[in-house]
Amino acid sequence: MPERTSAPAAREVHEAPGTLALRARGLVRSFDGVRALDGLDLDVTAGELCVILGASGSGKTTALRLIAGFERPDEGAIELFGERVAGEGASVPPERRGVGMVFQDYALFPHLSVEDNVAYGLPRSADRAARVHEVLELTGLRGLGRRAVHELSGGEQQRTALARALAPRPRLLLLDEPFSNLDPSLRARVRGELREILRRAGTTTILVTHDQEEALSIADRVAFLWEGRVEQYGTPREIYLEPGTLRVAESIGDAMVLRLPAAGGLVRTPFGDLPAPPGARRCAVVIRPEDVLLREQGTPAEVCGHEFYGHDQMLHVRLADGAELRVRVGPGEEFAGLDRVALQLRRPPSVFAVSPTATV
Amino acid sequence: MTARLIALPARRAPLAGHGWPPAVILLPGLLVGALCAIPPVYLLVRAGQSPEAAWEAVAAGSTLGLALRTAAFAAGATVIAGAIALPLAWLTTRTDLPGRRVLGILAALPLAVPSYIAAMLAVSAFGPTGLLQDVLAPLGVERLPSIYGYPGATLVLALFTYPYLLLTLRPALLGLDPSLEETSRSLGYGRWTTFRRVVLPQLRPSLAAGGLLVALYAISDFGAVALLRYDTLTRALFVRYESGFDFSGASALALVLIGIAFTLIALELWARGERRYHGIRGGSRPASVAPLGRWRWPAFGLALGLLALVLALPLALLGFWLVRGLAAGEALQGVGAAVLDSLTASGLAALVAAAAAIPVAVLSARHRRFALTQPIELLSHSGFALPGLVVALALVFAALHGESFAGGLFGGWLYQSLGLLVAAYALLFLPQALGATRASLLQISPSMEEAASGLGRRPWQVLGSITLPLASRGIAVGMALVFLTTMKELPATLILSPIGFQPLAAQVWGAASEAFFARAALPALLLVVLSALPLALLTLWRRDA
Ligand SMILES: Nc1ncnc2c1ncn2[C@@H]1O[C@H](COP(=O)(O)OP(=O)(O)O)[C@@H](O)[C@H]1O
Ligand SMILES: [Mg+2]
Repeated sequence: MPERTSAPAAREVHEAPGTLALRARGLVRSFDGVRALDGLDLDVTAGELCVILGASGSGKTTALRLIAGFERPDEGAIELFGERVAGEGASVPPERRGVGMVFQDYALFPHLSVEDNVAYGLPRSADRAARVHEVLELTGLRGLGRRAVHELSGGEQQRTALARALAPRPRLLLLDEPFSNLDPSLRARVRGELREILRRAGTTTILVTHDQEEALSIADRVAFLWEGRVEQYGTPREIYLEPGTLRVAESIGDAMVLRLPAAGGLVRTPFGDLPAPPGARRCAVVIRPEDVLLREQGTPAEVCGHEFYGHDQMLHVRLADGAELRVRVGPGEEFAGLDRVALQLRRPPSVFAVSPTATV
Repeated sequence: MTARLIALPARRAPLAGHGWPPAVILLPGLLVGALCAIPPVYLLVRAGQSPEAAWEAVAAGSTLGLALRTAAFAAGATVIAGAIALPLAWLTTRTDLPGRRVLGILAALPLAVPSYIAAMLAVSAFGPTGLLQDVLAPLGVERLPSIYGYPGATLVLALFTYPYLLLTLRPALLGLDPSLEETSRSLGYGRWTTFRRVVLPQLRPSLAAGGLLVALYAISDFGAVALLRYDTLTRALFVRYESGFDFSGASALALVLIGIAFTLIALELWARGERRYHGIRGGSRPASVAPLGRWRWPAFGLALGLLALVLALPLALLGFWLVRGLAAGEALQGVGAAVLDSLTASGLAALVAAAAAIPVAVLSARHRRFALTQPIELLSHSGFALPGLVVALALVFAALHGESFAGGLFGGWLYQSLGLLVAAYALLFLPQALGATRASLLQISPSMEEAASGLGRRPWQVLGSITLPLASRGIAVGMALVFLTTMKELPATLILSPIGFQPLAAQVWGAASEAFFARAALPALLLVVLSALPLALLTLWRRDA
């Protein structure tokens, strides 16, 4: 096969921790007037696993394709390890970016065996076979090298695509919804395997998904994408416990929203007064069902429904002002005959200003 | 939340947003487009140089009459071909006709019989001095109804071009969503009404596409109309060419012919209809089969009768004339050389057309948004609209012109060279190679190519290691189609063959136009067999695809 363009890939040694692997600024990309990306900013530190989380159509795939070099930004710039690769006159083609990509449909070459797929991105050299062997080992594909790709199970296909992308030691790895083509029962296991493979390979990775559980469980940092922009960027904990916007709070996890008027810098809630954002006249107070506790004393409420799930149960209650809340409790509690309860909050809820007329 | 959440992933084309296609695609693509532009541009320039003379030739009463006769010929042939192909397609796909699969494949084979061979055999069998007359004369039949003129010419043409329609209708009928028909039946409509109101409208695009192929074949046909003595524009153009180089007059007639071709294409676009019928298929359930009941065997008989007329009879006649020729000591030399010439020309044309189709197909399938893609694609289809005779004449004129311009340098290197002949074939049949190649490219997910370039391969390496291997079947189908049509091609062959180069088509024509049927028999038989081979290959490929 013809020689491979040498990419400035990180050979085995990883960039010093703290280096910026990716720096994207103000990325805009439109298709026929639809803005798939609308000013995307993203910094990814070398060695991290960054997950871009967003609903379908929010621009996740487009973001990856811009980083990989399959599309060019209309506006904005991309730097990889300090080198400008797109925007402001720069335009480095994909084959010279040293970025590996695993496509949502895997894009395995059907006319090549597993081995040849994995070897495809490697230069012809004496240690080529050794590297293929090594990567097959790493991804748990030992013994499957001679198979045709259509003879593989879904999980094996996914690992082949991963092995192929990892083989040339990319300095940045992109994964587009890697679990979406897998049986749901398989996903959790494969997710763990992937995390482990990536940890051992030590490659900086950006993974894209619309599944919040997936994002929160494997990411070092999560970028919440909404309509082509990063709405919040932080650790999974930050994203879940300290949502930066009402949208993030509502989109991730189970959230109940009370819309309440604010005055004098305070919003009056059934659980007491809370500080309101400066200047807000109306606020959205976000409470998660697991943060509501049943106590001897507290905000009185009337029980109006109850569902038993096994690992926990959900209690539906109505407050004095008519607001309805859900309360998550352990499976052991008995609710037969109970009709009044007292509620307290585990921690102060998030409060966001909303415009007086907005319904969102 | 908003509707954006359920937006389906759009089909993506790599690097297609903005930016240019890679040079390995763009440069050859531009070259192909430019070469394809030569005939139409040259004709326009010629006609434009002496507009009065050109206008005179166009406006002459005789031209108008010829144009009308040509249109009537195309219309008649298309209607008859449709009347044969539609029931045949339905019978072989949607009924319990005995042996319908085999019949469906056999019924496509007349495509291997070029119209001039069909016409020659018709004259030899049913003409005023033909075999049938010989047989019937002792019984007191003095004159058979004449096969010359409009009825004979249209019938012969239709009998050997209906496969174009059959080949587009069969897959369409097989692909129809059966639940549409079932809905109609459950709403109280009978089988016939359902066919007319539900099935037929869905077949409109295929009828239009197949009909266009028949009509274009008719207006560019030269051999059959000459042998069956029906004057069309193409025949008149050929006569003008043979009687001396009348450049501007010929260019003007050629432009009228092109005008008719474009009218036909516009008609097809209109007949195809506004609405889209594709993408509405429900399940993958196979179409339901209609029991023919007591019509089963009569229908079978009709289908067999047709095959006897268009397959068995031509082969039998060719065999008869061959035996008779051998008995009369007809020399067989020259046939081997003719086979070799035919294979050379068709093989080269297939290679050149396939190679030229690749960059254009990649542009069309992967770089839709690039500004030059559509112009290049359009020019590459000029062979579809331009009759072979017109392309050949334009190339002759252009070559002579170019030589008188640069002749001091090169001498007569272009006119009557094998290169020019192959170029004409490739230009004429490029659309067939293009269609097959493009279709197979569209089935390859672009992410495959992106994966390759993400792994460090340059565009030309991606083309060589991923795109072409995966598209190889489509490319091969395209080559087989070009090979088959080149083998049969007549007008360009007659005009552009180098001295001493005599492919089978030219040899058949030389003998047939002098009514030396026995001499024409062997090359004609070989031509049919050599054309039928790639055709059979194609049908097999299509079946296991
Ligand atoms: N090649 C394309 N042509 C047209 N529209 C596109 C193209 N790629 C993406 N889009 C549009 O851009 C938006 C974002 O798409 P995408 O990045 O695929 O989102 P996601 O991967 O988050 O589902 C969608 O509205 C989609 O329809
Ligand atoms: Mg996507």
